[in-house]
Amino acid sequence: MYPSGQILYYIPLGDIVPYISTINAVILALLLAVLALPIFSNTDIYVEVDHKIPRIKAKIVMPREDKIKAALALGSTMAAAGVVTTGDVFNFTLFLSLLGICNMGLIGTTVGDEFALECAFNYGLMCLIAGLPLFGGAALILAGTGTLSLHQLMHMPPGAGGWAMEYGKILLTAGVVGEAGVGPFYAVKVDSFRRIWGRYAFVIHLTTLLTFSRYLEILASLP
Amino acid sequence: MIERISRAYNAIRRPDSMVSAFCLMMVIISAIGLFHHYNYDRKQLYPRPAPQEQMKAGDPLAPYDRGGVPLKHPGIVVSQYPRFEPVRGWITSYLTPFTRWLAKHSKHCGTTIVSHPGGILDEILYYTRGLDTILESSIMFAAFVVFSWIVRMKTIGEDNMERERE
Repeated sequence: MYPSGQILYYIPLGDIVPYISTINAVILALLLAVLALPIFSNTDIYVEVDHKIPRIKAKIVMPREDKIKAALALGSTMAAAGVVTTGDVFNFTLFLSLLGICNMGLIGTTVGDEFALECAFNYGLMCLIAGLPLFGGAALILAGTGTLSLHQLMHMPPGAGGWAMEYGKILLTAGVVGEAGVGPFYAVKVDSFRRIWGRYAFVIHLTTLLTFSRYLEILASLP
Repeated sequence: MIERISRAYNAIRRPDSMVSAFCLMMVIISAIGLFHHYNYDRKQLYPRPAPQEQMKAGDPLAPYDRGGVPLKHPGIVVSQYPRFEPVRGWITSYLTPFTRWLAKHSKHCGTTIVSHPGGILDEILYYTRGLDTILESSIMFAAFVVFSWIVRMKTIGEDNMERERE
């Protein structure tokens, strides 16, 4: 019944029942491996190579910037872990908002770079706007079917909820696209990736990608 | 043709035009949703009393009255998985002595839920869907951390912030 394979483990946390299934376990393991990367690597000097004018620019990263970025990367990865394991549609949207804010912070806390700040501002603005379709989609799914739990939604017959459910899915997709920055809106993130250093760029990259793969699984389990 | 596509991609590549592109997509999606009618399911998981029903009955705890007598029998809290919440309903029925006094002397105790200590604790918020409430505040916390860090950096400067550490 579960589109992501056998259910291995679930945590009875009130109405929100996070669960780990076969595919979720793989995604979660990958995420925790990503989290281990910034912990074990140590970059104090950020080197940028400009190909047009042959030159190498080096910037010494101050410890305080490193500290806040490590904290935000931790928050981002934890939020992504929540996204991957959650068993509730509304909970999913909340974790995704936390992920978007943390990723925005990772870009925005780059010191001495006006362009990174501008990118972070626009990306944050998009996260803010994407909150509307995201929560609106969850609300429409609740209105159409009467429940938010994924375990219940999986057992519903196809076509349950009618147009409210269909439109809820469309809105939820728009929200995920805006919040995680996939599709055509990915471009600005790639641009801003170059402004922050490799290991944290990697965190943004993989959390959003794995979030979207998890979203596809949720989409498959909705009626 | 390919040149035109690449030009279009370059146009939405800039950070300031990305927001406009997303808003345009939202406008199109909203326009689709405007011309349909929505069928709501009558069997909702979290039921609510009819509007103004408790208010007209003169209940001082309206609109948050969920019934129950403190320490005798629990209030009514409907949940998806009752087997995971063995003690639901007990906290909702409890009122602090001050709140009980306020409910006896005022008709609007239920709507002053935040303005005095120890009001009605809504169990849907704090027990059956507790993780949601924690997350909502942590989103704001993360946003505040980022914002305050950037503002501090811009106002006192990079060097001063490093000096402060020592």
